[in-house]
Amino acid sequence: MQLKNKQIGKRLTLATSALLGSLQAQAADDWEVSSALLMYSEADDRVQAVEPVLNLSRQFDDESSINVRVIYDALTGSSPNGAMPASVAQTFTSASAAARIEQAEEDDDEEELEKYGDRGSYTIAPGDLPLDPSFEDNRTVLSLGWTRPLSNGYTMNLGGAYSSEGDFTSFSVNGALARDFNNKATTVSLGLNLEADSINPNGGVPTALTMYGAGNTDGSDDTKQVVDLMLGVTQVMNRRWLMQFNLGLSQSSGYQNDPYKILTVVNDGNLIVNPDDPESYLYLFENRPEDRQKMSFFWQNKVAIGADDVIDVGYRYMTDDWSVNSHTLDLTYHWQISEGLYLEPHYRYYRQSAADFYTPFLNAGSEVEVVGSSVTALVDEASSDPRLGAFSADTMGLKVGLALGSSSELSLRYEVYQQHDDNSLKAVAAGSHLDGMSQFAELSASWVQLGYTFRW
Amino acid sequence: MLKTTLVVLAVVGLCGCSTVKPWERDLLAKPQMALDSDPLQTAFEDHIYFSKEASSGGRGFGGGGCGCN
Repeated sequence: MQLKNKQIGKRLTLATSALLGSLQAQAADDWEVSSALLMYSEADDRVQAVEPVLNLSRQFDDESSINVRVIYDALTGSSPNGAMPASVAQTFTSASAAARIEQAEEDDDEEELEKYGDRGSYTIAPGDLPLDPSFEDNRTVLSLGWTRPLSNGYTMNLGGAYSSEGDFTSFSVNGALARDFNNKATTVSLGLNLEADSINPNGGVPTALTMYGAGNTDGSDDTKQVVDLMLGVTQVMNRRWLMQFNLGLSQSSGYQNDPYKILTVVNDGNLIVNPDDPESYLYLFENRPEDRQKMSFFWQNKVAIGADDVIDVGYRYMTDDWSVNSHTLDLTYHWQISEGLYLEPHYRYYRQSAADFYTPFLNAGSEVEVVGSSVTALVDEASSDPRLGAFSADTMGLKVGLALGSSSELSLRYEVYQQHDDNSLKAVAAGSHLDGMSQFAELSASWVQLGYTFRW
Repeated sequence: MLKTTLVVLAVVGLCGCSTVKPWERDLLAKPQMALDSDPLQTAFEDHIYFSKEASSGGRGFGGGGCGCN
């Protein structure tokens, strides 16, 4: 009994210290290997991603544990470039594709040339959403974590992560300290994460709010630093109810722009011919504030139903100084059909308000001054990135889990995601190029996740 | 916001004197009762939503390490 209680206590400590890593209960001196594959797909030939993950964790006799995770992410497809659909055809010259082509020509890389040779510029048909077809990247992430119990009910966690993709590198270190109270019924934890990012866009860092195609850059790379602080409380409410509450603060400083996103400039709703290039229209590179402070509040409940079923209800409120406020509600029911089989239906609702500098396009006169070939933005910040607009989104999914013997599990999950535009329409002159055009591209996506976990 | 936080903390504090004994933790110790019962799934979701929405974090640190802004 004593031994069993100790095991349960250990498992509960692990279960309740979510902030301190996410190790499942496992036998000491066993490696637990979790692997998963994500296949993500957006409608309308937008982003497609394949993402395999391998996670190794091991618990030692002294109750310390380590965790190693490797993620690879291969992305292809098209991504909105930020310009508005219009009633006329629009031709864009992709800086990222042009940079790749130039590099490939230098390296004499025929394979790359074949891939990108015809993507240096692309034409969007009237009424279609401008999508940049040269979106392609590979990301590799390595993260490490070490958890160790200290004396007096304290547990310490240290970790770090390195992430690299073609135009982006990120380093982070994190540490957290947790303490159990009330016979491990309460766990309070405090965590700190420091992240340093380096951004080196294909074609250089475009000068904010300058003409697309003019090639003005501010060097080849820029940086961003993020500091996150999180206070967490986990509480056993009763035999069937476990609750977690987190308060998160985040400060991000540095380059926050999406270097590939542009904005259409119109005169009374009509596209303006680029003063430097009569073949194309006028677009400006976006600009966001250099600082962002976020605060989040997360509340999660796990409630056991019967002997094996569990309801998981989570709510998150997030607010930041860009005027983005969001609500997220997440519901999952773990339905244990038999000892070796479970189903998990899932629903998530999300809603966010727009950043205060979000705008689907810019108006000449009030927001941009266009005099001959001189183009000057009159706004300090502007972005048409749909991620910063107002929208709500639904996710629905189902997961099936199958135990294979006592120490391994296979799972399959399918999820569908749909965004809904909540932005108010920006006025457009009747009969102009933008009249009747969608000002927000609602995203539809779906993904399949295959998971396999075993002990060894 | 801060008020809500303090209220919730106070409620949690009051319930701190939980009467759940170690031998009554059979249900709480089940893997499906773990707050993060599938960490890889959580990581996938964080990455997807981080790259498509303006919010991140909450459960853990706000997902960085991605140029998807």
